[in-house]
Amino acid sequence: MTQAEFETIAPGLRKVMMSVGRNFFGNESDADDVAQEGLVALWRYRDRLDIGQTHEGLAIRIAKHCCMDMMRKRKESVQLYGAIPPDSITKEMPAAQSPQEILETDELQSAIEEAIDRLTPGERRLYELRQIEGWELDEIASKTNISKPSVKSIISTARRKIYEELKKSLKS
Amino acid sequence: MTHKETEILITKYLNGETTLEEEKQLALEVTRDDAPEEWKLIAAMMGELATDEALFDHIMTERATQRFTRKPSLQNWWWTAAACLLLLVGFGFSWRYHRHEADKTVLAASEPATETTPTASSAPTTTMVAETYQDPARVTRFIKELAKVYSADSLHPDCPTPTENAPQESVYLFADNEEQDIIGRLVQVACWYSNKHPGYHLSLNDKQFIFQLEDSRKNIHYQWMAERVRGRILLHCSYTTANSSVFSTCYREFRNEIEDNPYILNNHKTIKI
Repeated sequence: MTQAEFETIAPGLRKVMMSVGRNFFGNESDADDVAQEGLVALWRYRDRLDIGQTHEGLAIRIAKHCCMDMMRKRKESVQLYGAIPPDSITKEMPAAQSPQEILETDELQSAIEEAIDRLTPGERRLYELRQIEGWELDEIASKTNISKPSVKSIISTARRKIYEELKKSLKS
Repeated sequence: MTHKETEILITKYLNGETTLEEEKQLALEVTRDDAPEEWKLIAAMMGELATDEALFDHIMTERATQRFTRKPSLQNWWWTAAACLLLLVGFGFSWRYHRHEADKTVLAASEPATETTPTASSAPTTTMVAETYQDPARVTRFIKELAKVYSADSLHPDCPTPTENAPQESVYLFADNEEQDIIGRLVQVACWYSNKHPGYHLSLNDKQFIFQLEDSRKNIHYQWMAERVRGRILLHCSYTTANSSVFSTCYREFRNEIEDNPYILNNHKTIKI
C-alpha cells in the first residue's frame, strides 16, 4: 500500500482506534494517544496491507495492544515514582517485566522473527493472516481459495516449525 | 483452566485446530506470571497482538460483569421469595395432579374387566428428560418480546435482495436507559446458555455486546449484537447456515452511516412493533 492509499484509509481507522481507546480509558486524551500510537504501528505494517480489503479488524487489535501497552508503561511509572493508588486501573494488569525478563523476551522475539523468515512464503502468508490479522480459518480459506483442511495443515506446519526452532534456540 | 486443559489447548494450537476464542483463553493462561517456561514459548509465538487482545477483552468483560452484577435490594429479595413460593405451590399442585392420574391408571389396570395384563409399558412412570436442549432461537424470541414491551423501533436497512446464503436479519432500536437496561438483560439471556454450547461466544464491553450460538441440529449460526450508537441501543439479530458469515456488509454499512449521520436514525423508515 502506498502512502497516498494509506492516507485515504487512515481517518476511518483512526476513528475505530479512538473508539477502542475511549471505551478502555474513558477519556478523549488517552483515546487520542491510542489512535496516534495505533496509526504509527499500522503505518509500519502498511506494506502488507491490501487496498481492496477492510482493515478494521487489524486496527482494533492494534488499538487494544496500544491500550495494554500504555497501561504497562503507567504501571512501571507508578512503581518507580510512588505507590499505586488503590482504585487505579493499573491493578488490572499483570506484574511489569524485570530487565532480565525484557532481555529474554527480546531474544525470544528475534528467535521468532528468524524462524518466521525460514518459513516458506505460503506458510508465512497463512501464519500471518491468522496471527496478525486474527482471521478465523473459514475466513482465510474463503479469501485465499485454499480449502479449510489445507489452511489448518499449513498453519499447523508453520507453528510447529517455529515452536521447534524456539526450543532449539532456548537450549543453545 | 487446569494445567491439563491448557496442555490440551496448546496441542490443539500447534495443530492449527484452535478457534480464535480458544486462542484468547490460551493466551490468558500462558501469559500468567506463574506459567511454566515452555508455555512462555507459546505466549511468545502468539505475539503481543493476540495476548494483549485477550487481556483487553478479559479486562473489559470483567468490568462489564461487575457493572451488571447489582446488589439485590430487600425489595428484590421479597420478589424472589414470592416467586420461589409460587413455584413450590405450582410444583406441589402439579405433583398431586400427576399422582392422581397415576393412581387412576393403576386402578384401571387392576380392574377385572380389563382384558390385558398390565405390563411395564402401561405402568405409570415418571419420564426423566435425559438432556435439556437450549434452542438458540429462544434469544431472538425474547428480544422480540422485549421490543414489543418497550415499543422499540424495528429498522429496515435498504439491503439488496438477499442471496441464498445471506443472513436473515432484524434490527431494533431501543432507548439506552437504566429502566430498559437492554445490555444488562441480554447478558442475563446469555447466562441461560452454558459456555459449552456449540458456537458459544460472548464478548462484552461498555459499548458493545456480542453473543453467538450455533444450532448444530439445524446447522444454523446465530448472532446478536447490541451497540450503543448515538445515545440509543442498536440491536442486530441475525442467523445463517453455520458455514456462511452471519454479519452482512449491508448492515455494517448501515450501522456506520448511523454513526456518521444521526439524521438517518431520526428519519429512517421504522415500524412500531
